[in-house]
Amino acid sequence: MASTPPPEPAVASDGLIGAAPRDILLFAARTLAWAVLFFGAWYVAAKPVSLATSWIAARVLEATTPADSVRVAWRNDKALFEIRPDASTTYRDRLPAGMSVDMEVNTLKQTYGVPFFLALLAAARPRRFAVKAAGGVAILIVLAAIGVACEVAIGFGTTQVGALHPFAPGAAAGTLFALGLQLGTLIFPCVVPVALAIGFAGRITRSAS
Amino acid sequence: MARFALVFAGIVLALFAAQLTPPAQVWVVGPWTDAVAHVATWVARAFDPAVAVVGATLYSQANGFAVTILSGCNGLEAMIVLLAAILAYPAPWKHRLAGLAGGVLAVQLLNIVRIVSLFYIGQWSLAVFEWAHLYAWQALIMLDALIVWLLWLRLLPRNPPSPATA
Repeated sequence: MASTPPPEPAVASDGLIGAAPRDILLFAARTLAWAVLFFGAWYVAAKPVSLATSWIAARVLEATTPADSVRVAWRNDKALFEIRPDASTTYRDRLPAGMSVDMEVNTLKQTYGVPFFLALLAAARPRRFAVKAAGGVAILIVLAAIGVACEVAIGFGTTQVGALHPFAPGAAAGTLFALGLQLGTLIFPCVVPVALAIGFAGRITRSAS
Repeated sequence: MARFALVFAGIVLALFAAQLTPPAQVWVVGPWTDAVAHVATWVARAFDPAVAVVGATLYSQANGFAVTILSGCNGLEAMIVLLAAILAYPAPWKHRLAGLAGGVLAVQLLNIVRIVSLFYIGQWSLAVFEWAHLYAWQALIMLDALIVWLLWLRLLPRNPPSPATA
């Protein structure tokens, strides 16, 4: 019986793309192993990671909502946003002077892409790991902050003071915040780490030479 | 590479927004989620006859514990991402369809494992359930989609016959 060689791959092996099936499966196994380490480290470092993300989210909120200032603290293992409406909102709605709205957010929902990305990147064994890891983490933290800001904005928008809504976004803004919340929890932490890892990865298996 | 990234992002955003619309929720997402719940129940009943299902909710007749499958837990997002990655990559339609069929199977098989495992993890510890549900399994499902896509890329023939000359 004559044997035929397997078809050549459509693409030349370049990092993750076009790697042999055995290398792909080994890559998956390494990712799982690294994930144990990085997810554990991320959970231990939840407070600084969350506060850094929340600080950026606070700046996004100050730029996109009628908030005079947004402060961030840590309470009950969650980020606490203290939002002070701006002067025009306070005057228009006759809100008490110095009033602020507090909101707790579990930012781990948005930041779990960080350990996922680091596990993928470590498993891909790229050159200049530290630089690529730092760049990827920075991108993921900013995206996570956008997702957190959208979650806080939605909560801020549904907050009532008496019969008043200090911040009631229009239909378009409300839809954008809702989409940002969905992307921030379902797409940014899952898909962006994969895209970054593929973009940054060197070969799956580093050459022995 | 830039074309792939643009097409991929476009398809992901379009399908992700589309599945959030009320008609898609009623006609696609809801029935799909119910079907996933029923398959997960069928699998769990193989070793635990006390498991029952109502709509998209699995519950234990032994202790009353229940989990409801919602959007984000039905595997649709991972399928959308995989579909976008396969469609964005230049390949013959025959191979794309084969990749999609294999991909849907791989994603949903692991998703069933996710649901059944979460059902029992929740009965053991709600803290671990939350951790596994919100973080670990989300990443695992996407890793599954990535592996399927990488294997599919590898299995593409180098010089596929042109549809015009076939």
